[in-house]
Amino acid sequence: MDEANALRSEILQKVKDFYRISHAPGGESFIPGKTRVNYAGRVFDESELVNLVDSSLDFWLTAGRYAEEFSGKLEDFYDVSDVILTNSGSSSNLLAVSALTSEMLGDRRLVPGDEIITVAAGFPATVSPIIQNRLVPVFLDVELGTYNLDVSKLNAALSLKTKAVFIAHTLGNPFNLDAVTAFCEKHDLWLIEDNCDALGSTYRGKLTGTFGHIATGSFYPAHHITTGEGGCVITDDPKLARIIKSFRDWGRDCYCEGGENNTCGCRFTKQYGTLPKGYDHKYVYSHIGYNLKMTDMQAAIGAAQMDKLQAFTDRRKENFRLITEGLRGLEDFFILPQATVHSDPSWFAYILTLQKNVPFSRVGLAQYLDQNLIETRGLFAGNLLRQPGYMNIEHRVVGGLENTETIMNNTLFMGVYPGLTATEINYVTDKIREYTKQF
Amino acid sequence: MASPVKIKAVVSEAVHHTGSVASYRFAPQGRVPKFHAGQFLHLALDDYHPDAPWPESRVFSIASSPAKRQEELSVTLSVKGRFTERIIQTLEKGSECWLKLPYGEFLFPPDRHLTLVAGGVGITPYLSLMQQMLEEKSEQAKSIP
Repeated sequence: MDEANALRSEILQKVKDFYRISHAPGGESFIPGKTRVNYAGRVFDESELVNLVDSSLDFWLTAGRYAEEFSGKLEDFYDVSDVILTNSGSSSNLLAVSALTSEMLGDRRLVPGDEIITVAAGFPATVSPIIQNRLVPVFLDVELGTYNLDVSKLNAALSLKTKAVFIAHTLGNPFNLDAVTAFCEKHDLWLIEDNCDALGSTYRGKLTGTFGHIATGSFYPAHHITTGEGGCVITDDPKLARIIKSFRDWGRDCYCEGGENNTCGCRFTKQYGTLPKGYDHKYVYSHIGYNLKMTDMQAAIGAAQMDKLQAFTDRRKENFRLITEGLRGLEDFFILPQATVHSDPSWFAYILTLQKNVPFSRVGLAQYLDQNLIETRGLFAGNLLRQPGYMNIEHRVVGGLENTETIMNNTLFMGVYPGLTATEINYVTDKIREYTKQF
Repeated sequence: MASPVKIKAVVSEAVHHTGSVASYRFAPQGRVPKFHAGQFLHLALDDYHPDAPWPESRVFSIASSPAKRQEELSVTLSVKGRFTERIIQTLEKGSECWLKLPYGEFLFPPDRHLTLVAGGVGITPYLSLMQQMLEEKSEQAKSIP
């Protein structure tokens, strides 16, 4: 064992040396017009590599000590009882909606045909779980500037079938949580926060992801922290947590961790469904579930990333501020992003919408920036209802989607991720200014 | 429920109420995850190592406040069999043991009046709840028959 420990230490020291030679920043500086300015990217140091290799040497593979550390750090960060690690933010969204269909929730469970209020201007993974669970999305328009749900439309969207609200904090900007939580409480609705793009954002000083019954997170490399693929479901309700874990783990009823048996002490004594009494509880399935777990090697990266979260958040806010400063005076061309009142976003990106009647197009601007090696993106699916896969879904639209259409046609975003320097940010804003001067 | 966390703990206080009922206060030696009043923990006497299976244990309601979890965890137990007899005979102030928590869905709704009914050591989850309510200065009405 001593020899193994010594070898492990030697290997991990070599990993640090490898990081310094292969990955450490320095040497290559930004060259305007030669170096690509990405909209997102993973930011890491030797700690992530060391954890990853350390975990691989354990060869535990499935959730183990690093999963416990990573979920624990997230639980402490959010001050909730349960952060359930998954293999992606999209899987987390699927679990969040699926969990609400559980018979364990009695009269409050969602059944096919029930409606969930959401938006069409976003990423499809917020909406697809609604459809996959044979529920009906009810689409409302969003505001330009905050890109979040227009809460003035909420009451009009309510029907006897309305059971939940499921929306994202768009690009890290919290939606109007005063209005949405009040609406949900008044009408006894579930609230799911898609917090995938908003890790570290706050509303009235409280972290987003802690207002709803359930929230979700993503650790894809473009996000605030990364595990490669990966995500999580957040809740402070142990009953919901048990249901979510069941759906994540094949639908099983047993809550033993990997490698454990008979945690409940009733493994061979109870009767479930029409199974014979005493049927092994490890193989009792109370839901039709999935297998969406995170591996320990992913969690090992996440555990190291969590130690950088505050610095990442600070950097995102600073980069956002620098872009705003750099674009000052261009308000005739662009609608600049606005933080929702009472919020302090940890921005995912910097989003711009062309003002009406500007003498150029979104595509023209995006192409110009692309030629100058500046990466941009549209606001994900634009208007989701115009996507080929979604054109024929059962749904309702309440109050029109005028701003959603505008976003589809006239909106783009660029990066604020912590890997960007002030020099790169200045280059981006200079190029946008340069483009507008042509007109 | 949270992914249960395994924590070494030191007995900081042991009170034997009778020959078969005792209360223990533990000083956790690692991170204690957030739990809710009404949840329970596993108590193991034998040493635990991450490479080995969790040792034999029994479950007990947590009687202490969730807010003070990092400083103390407490349980009250009565002898029901061989293992609980071993606990009573073994654990004393300064003893080390292993805890695994949290578990359970015996939770208290925050938005209605509560009537709490319990017999014997069954009162322990209510102790956790009442300490929490005192700390939060909750105005939620409650009665204990």
